[in-house]
Amino acid sequence: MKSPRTVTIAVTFVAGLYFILDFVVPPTLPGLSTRGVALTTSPASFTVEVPSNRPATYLVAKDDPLRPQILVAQRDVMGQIKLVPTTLRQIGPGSVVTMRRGPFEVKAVNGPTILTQSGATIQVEPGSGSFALYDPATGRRVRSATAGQTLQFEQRDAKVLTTDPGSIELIENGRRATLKLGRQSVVMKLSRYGAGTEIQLDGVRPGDTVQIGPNTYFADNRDAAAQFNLVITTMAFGIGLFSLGMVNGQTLVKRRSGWYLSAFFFGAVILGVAAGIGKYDDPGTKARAFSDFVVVQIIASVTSTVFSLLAFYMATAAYRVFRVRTGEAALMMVSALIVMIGQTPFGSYLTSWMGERYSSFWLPNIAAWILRVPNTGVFRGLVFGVMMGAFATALRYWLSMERMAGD
Amino acid sequence: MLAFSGLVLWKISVAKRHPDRVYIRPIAGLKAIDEAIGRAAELGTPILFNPGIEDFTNIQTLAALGVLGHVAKKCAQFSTPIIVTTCKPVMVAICEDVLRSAFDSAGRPDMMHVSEVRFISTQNDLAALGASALMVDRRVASVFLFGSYDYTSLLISEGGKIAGCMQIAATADYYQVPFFIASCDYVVMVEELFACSSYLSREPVMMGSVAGQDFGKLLLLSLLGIGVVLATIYGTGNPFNGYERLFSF
Repeated sequence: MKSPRTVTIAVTFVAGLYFILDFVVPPTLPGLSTRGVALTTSPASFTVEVPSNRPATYLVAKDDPLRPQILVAQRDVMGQIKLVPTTLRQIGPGSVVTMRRGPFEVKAVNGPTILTQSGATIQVEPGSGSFALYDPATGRRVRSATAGQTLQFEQRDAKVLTTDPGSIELIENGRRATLKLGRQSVVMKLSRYGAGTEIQLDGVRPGDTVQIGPNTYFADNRDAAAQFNLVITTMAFGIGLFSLGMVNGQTLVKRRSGWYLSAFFFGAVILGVAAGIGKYDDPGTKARAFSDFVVVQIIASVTSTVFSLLAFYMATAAYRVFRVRTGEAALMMVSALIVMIGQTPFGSYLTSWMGERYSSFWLPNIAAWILRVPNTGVFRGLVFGVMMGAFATALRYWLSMERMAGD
Repeated sequence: MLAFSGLVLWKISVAKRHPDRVYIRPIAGLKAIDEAIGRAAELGTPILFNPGIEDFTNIQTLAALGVLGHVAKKCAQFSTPIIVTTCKPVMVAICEDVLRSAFDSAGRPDMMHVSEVRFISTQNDLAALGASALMVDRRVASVFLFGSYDYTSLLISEGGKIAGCMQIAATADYYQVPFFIASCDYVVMVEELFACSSYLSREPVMMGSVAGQDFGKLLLLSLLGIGVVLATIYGTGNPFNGYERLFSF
């Protein structure tokens, strides 16, 4: 690379290309994808090994009341680990998952075995930290099951041994065929209008038009690429706070004019940090109450006050605009009046005496026509213009053709 | 997308070869930029530029940054300080870089000391109010509101109106255009925002892209016209559907 500008151009091009490809390239690889009308499906399954070394195979079938919901642990923005639902395609041998099954109704309990109303059996692992029974209504953990109870169970830290993505029988070009799905196969449900949507194999209904093929990875990694922006913004926040601290600290130490505003800044930062600490605490705790006091009773009130200024500004702006000085202003005034009165019960009252025969001349109908026909036409014209303008500007930036003042 | 890209790139290549063949009609709001900066120079007070409420991932903000560069260059020629306010922290560094480049290219790097980029608040309404307060405190002569806006368009533009500033606004958020029309002296309407930097720079490449986007609109309009005709002839349940009448028994 010759210069920083060349690097910038290259990075801009590659980043732009990624998002364009994400938009243009279909979710499944063209040429290697199969398209047809679904007949039947053979459910996907996966085998796991739980911490007590007990291997078990689970079917991912829609009709199965104990169909496991697969969850993986992810760290959220606050740094807390949370269980996030995932799909069979996104896990593989070696992945550590949590499975949530149920709710199911307990028919009988025989030692460590629970028999459900549907005939399935569940092996309870007393004393195991990775196995837990829950009451789905309250979300609370249940120590032991009794007949008649509705429960849900969670198996944590299960290590995936094998995965079988299942198979599908479909009609492809008039011929019946059975297609075995690969580990990275994506099932797209196609509709007459709009793009297809990714569904799981157990979500396929007989008669659905589906497209199945290897994943192109763009959609899966879009979020990761978009997080660049988040990283840059977060860094800017940190640098900004540091910079503000330096500037205000110097003002305060040297007693420059407006030093009391700098003192207020530090007070506000301390207050904000103190309020933020308790933001995610349980309701009812002191820390949460303090956070709510600062956020709801101070900041929200100040923001609402600012927002309320809009009402006054709208009144003065409307007064200036609605002065009838030209033909166009008069036209706008009349249409605005019709639309505004037409939206109120008073509008119906004014013109309802005309009767059903002349209902086209009722004010609400005229108002609706103005909004639906001329207004929509103009808006669509504007949208076309905006779309083309944005497209040309994006192309200029992407190909580094935009010329700034310094270029 | 390929067709639209092709059109834009084709017009750019035409503009490169024959710069005199590309014409952009005069845009009143952009012609007034010199007047607004001149007003500030005469009054000896700064101008204020607000690049909207979004960051650089929004295409309107990118278009606004192009205008900021040109406005800053003009300010450097007239020795008029420029204040930039933003509600996005990440925009501070970007706006500073645009200003620095513009001042350097105008041969006035010293202008960077009197001009400033201010991050006010991430909350749009507070940022608008902060910018309005600045207009009064610093006796700002002219205000440029270019970029993407939400309901705070009226908060910031009415603030400028009350402060007695000359205001030029441009946004592609068409719901905000009426508010700007009510409060500002000049409004660059909707898609014209994307033509601003081309219009101001008069660069053949940039002008060509604007001409290309107009050809794209022409293509869309033609497709609409064809669609209307086809829907009239072949549309189901259409009373003028000649196709249905012809083949119904």
